[in-house]
Amino acid sequence: MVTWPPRACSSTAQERLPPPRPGECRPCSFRRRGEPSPLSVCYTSHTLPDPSFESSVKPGEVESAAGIGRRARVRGSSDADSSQDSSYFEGGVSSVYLWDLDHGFAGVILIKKAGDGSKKIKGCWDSIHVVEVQEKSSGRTAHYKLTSTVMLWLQTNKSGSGTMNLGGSLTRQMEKDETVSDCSPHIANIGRLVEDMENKIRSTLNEIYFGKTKDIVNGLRSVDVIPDNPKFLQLQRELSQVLTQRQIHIQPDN
Amino acid sequence: MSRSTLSRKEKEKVIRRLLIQAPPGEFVNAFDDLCLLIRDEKLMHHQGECAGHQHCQKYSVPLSIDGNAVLLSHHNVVGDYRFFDYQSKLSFKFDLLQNQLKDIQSHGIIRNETEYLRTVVLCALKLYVNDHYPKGNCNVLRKTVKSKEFLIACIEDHSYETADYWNGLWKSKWIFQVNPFLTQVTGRIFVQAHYFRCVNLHVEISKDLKESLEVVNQAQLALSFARLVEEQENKFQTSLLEELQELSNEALRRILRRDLPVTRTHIDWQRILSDLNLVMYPKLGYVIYSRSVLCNWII
Repeated sequence: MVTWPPRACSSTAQERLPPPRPGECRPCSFRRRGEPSPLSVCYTSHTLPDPSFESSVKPGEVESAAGIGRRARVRGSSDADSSQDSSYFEGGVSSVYLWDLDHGFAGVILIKKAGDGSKKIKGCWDSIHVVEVQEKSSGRTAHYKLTSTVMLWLQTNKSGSGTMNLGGSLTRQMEKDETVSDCSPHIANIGRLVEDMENKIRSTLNEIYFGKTKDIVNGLRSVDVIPDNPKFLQLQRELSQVLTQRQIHIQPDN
Repeated sequence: MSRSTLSRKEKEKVIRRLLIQAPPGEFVNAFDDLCLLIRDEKLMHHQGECAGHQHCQKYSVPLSIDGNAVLLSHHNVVGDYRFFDYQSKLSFKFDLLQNQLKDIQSHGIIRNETEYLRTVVLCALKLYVNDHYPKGNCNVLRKTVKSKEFLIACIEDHSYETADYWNGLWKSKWIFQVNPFLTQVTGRIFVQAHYFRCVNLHVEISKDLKESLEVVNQAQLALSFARLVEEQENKFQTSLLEELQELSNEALRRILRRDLPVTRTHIDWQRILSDLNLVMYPKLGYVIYSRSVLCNWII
């Protein structure tokens, strides 16, 4: 049982808040207090980098790269001077947060896109991608686990079909082993995973939100007369019986 | 919400708010789930009764009394959680959780012209419902407001706990005043569905309508009314299906997320990474960059 769409999209603190102003970062349960916003000038990991710390992944690199890579996919509202459209979302907002684990790192990618509301269709797409990266000891491969949740709600208001509200969510998981190299670092692997996952989820949502709703409406009522419905003759008889009982015209009001 | 326990009144409010939101056909599931959390039988029982009464009215729960369908709505409420029925001339309480009628009493009905018209309209409506609804039910009620007589036609078709993983309800209500020569008919069509295979989807559609109807005699009125309802509901359903088809072509792509970027290919991660190296200081482990640099290579 789920409450109505706008309230249903409040499973993390992020979605309950209004869209951030340009340059703002979305606060959510994933970000620790006191951390600078990844969208601001300086990215740092949550502990100062130890110069002797060596791994196949440099923490700062991944964070900044992840943040920048995400911004390549979503045009943040701070990009007022960029004249180019972004790839998948026009005017969406995103945030990325990463943290270290024992044998790798994990992160969350949050994307929010609200419809412009100027047309007769209002909507909001929220996606939360949680990725866990386990690095193998060789450093050449890594195991990626991705859990993605997309929450989507739409509202239309047309003269023929009235007011229509569609709201819901979908969660999917996938796991993959990928090689990690200079030409295929974590950021590219994670980016590809998230891109594929979102594309799959998007087409599933498209099919279900509209296709399934059509099936349900047709299952409840038929525009064409249902043929050979056995009760027809009985009901016809009932009507003629009731009509022949009394034949009095309606008197006008006084 | 703090960890301290809620007062009884607060608990009642929360329970009732949650139960009222249960989609059609899922009231009992919601109630059972809440019972597991609350573990207070008396409290749940009372809230279940209040919320159940509202659920019945909201979703026109159909009952069968003496082989006739009775649709519950706020038009046949008679106080103290009771409903009444014209056909059987009974009033009763309906326990949604047990699916049982209780406290059945006789209920007097005034037999007048409007009562006769009601039965004629009901017969005509039944014919229409039989033609278009696979498992539909209908009911016609009568109401007097400031010495004006109104007829209220209710239609309902539902599908609960299907093998296809959805619960759905179509409900329509048509009201007109009993007037000679010409009357105004107002209608409201309401569709609600919950689909829960692989996805958790809630759909709610509603439309208000107004049409006028000529009145010659009772037989003509009943048949014209049924024909009007048929036309309007067909029109609505056709527009709705067209709208859904249009949305599947436009909405997700234009308004929210494209299926592919503007370049019509997947993102070139190599290009992003090669540009990234220009601003990276690998040995330091963190990066400082400025917004103008960022703007240059956003795809």
